[in-house]
Amino acid sequence: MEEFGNGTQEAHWLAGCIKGDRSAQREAFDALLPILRGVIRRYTRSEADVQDIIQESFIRIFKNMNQFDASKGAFTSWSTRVAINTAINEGKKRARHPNANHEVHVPVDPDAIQNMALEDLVNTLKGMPEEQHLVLNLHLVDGFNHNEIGDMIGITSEVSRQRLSRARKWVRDRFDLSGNELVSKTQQER
Amino acid sequence: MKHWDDILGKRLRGFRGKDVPGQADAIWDNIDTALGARPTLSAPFWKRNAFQMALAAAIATAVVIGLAVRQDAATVPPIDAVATELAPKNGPSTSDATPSESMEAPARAKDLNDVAASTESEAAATATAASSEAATAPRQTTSATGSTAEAPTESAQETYATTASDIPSKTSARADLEASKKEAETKTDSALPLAVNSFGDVMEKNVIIPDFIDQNPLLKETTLGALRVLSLLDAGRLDAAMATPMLVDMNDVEPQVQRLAIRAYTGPTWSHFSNLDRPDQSDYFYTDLSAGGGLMLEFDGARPWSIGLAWNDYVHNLQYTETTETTISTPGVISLVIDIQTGDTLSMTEGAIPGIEQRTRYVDHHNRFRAFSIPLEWRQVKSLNRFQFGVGLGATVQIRSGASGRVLNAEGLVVGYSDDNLSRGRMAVVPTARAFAGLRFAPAWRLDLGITAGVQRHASRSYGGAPAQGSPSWQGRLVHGQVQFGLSRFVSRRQK
Repeated sequence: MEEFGNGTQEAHWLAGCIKGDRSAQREAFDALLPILRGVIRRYTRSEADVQDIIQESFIRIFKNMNQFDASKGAFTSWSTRVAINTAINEGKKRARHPNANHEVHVPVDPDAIQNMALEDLVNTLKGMPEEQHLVLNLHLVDGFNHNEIGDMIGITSEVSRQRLSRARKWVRDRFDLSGNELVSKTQQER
Repeated sequence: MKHWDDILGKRLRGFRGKDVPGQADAIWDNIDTALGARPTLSAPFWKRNAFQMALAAAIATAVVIGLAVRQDAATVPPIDAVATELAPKNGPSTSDATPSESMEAPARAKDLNDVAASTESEAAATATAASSEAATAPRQTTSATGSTAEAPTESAQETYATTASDIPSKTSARADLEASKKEAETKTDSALPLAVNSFGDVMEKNVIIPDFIDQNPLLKETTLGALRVLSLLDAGRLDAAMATPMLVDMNDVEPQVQRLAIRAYTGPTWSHFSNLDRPDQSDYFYTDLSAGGGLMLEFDGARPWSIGLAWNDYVHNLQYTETTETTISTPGVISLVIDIQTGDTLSMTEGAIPGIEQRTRYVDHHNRFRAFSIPLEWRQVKSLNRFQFGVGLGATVQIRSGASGRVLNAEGLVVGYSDDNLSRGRMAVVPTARAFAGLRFAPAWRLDLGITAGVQRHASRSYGGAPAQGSPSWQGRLVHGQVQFGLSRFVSRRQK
């Protein structure tokens, strides 16, 4: 599977995708899937929704390919942004329909639980309140500032800061660790 | 504090998520289906959604028909405009004619051909007691309502002139009448419309034979004897153009003008799938809507048939709840030993705790079936003033152009519903029925609203043969229909 980053190959895929060439879209899909799956899994609390959101994200990406402006950033970044927006929107929809699939995620693969601490970390963080988890992901992981976060999820920048502060507190409480201890633990995991 | 923030962010940014075998292909299949069904606006026109295509086709067809017929109308007088009135009165009653009519009639008579002129002069010469009033009377009683109607009127005038002159010599009169008859035949060929037809726009109300024809046995043998005056059923309610009585040739041996209508239609389609092998599975299929449109040629007279070309997109739903169970294990406390006396925890064993994770997923597939159709239909139409009501029965030759979606096979498994899965033969003959109501809002135009329905066998490719391992096998029935909004343009075609 080819990763994005090879300029020539990426340009070829982009040109094909804009034309609607299904084989080029498939190549881009294969290259982007691992990245977007990780992003979407971080934002989605229900594992059962992940596949639907991945699917919807790619549909939006391919349908709006002509809106991509290479001068404003890499295609991967743009696709990630689309996937994040899709996940946020889907999260809002599911919040309006509480009977829809809402289940606490439990890792599927026993090997993943035993060996992949990162997987465990992601799942653990999903235990925090949803709005705090969202801001934590957007700010801490994906690097959006509070104004951007406010625009994306419809809150003020102050509320965003407040939620981030609470998310940090939750992490500290949950791990019962100081920042330094967490560092040492994550280093051990490596 | 900032330190662990950075570490956490960096680690999570690198999170990719574990690949689930087969998940990528499953997702791609759905994306592929969705992109095929919901292309971008920049996609080629044949990939746009059904409603847009049907609407565009209907508009384009209406424009083409309008332009073509307008051009045709410039050279051939439209039938509805050919309206000639014969006043059923003889000389003494000519005082009813308005002065302007009285002045116009002789004036038009001067423009007639030489036969008419010679007939008139001969009549004047041979008449012994015919007054000039009597000679002009028939002309006064004859008026044309439009320039396009002058051809039949001229013939009538010629005959009247001969008649009114009270010719003593029947031989001479017969010769003149023969000449007039030929002239009338020649001219009426191009102007007289067809009689009552299945379009139902005209109906014979009263046959009025002018008195002067009735009084002259000779005339009854002539062409005029075969002429009848028809009027529209309820002229009073129609506008001036439509209300004008029409001069119609009822003689079967006379040349006819065939009429046909070009009808463009579009509208929402519906379809419903039923599984015949496993009727219990039919509960998972639901009716859904899409769109289609087409073009029909509707013939008239003794052959009230229609034939056309259409494209329809039929959609039905497959809805089900998918439940998957996965055996999992989570870290936790396996055993705990507590001192009953003190309540102290004596020992605790931690480890992987097995469990079952159940996932429930609600799935809604929109199964699309696209086909070009060649409908062949027999119609029966009844008219009531401007309104028309009809039914049609026929068959549609259907040529499948594509399909997409999911369906349940005989084992109850979800399998593909695509062009590759459906039967190899792309062609099917579908019995259809249609009911409609129309409004003739203009002499040559009609708007109609109707509903059509058809039923066909719908089966997978491998059904009935030796199915390959794992290939789908199902047989069902697809009932579909359409609410049609149609626009018809009536045109004439002369038969030699």
